[in-house]
Amino acid sequence: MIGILIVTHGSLADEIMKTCFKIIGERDTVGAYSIQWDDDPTLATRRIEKLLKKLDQGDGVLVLTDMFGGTPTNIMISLSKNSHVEIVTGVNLPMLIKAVTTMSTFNDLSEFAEKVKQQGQKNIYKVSDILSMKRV
Amino acid sequence: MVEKRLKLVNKLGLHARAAAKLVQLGETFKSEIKISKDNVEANGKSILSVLLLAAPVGTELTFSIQGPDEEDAMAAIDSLIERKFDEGE
Repeated sequence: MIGILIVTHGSLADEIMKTCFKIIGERDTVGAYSIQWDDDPTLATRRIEKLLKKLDQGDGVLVLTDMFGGTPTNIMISLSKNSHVEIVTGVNLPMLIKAVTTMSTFNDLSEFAEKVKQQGQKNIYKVSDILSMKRV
Repeated sequence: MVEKRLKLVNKLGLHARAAAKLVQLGETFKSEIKISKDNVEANGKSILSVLLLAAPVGTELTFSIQGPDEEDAMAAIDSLIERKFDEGE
């Protein structure tokens, strides 16, 4: 079973996880770590490392971060050297819902990460395009 | 295949939590579930697909279900919608 960890700036990670759970129900192999603005990065790294170990049940952990180049992603890149993770940036709610509802159907972490990335991108819409499609 | 038009009667229509309940119910059946409205057809076992229908209260959705347990699946979905997704209003 693949685990999922969301890591972001501010409180986004915890809030997006709570929102996802409110919609589809709670899951215990999904975790979140929100790095607050005044947190010590070294301490945050150690705590995230512990959380990663807890979430890795043998098939690795998909890490969803907010933005490439930011501290959450950079910390995860440093941790990726010693752990079985794939990192996908730009976490959004459809991406997370898709990831959480399909995680049990994948064994290959890299394949799962690719699918989640595609779904996250695919589910961003310009609403007027959708509405005009419906009127046709 | 069984096909039926069902009208949404709950106040918020097919919003996120209702869609999740519908999909979770659908996943308990083997049959393939298609939901259509206007020109959009959604996979009844994918929440993101179902949400694309953008269906508020009063919307009529066409359910097309095909498979070994199609009758039971239709009855269960019909009941969930009639029960207003157990949301109370």
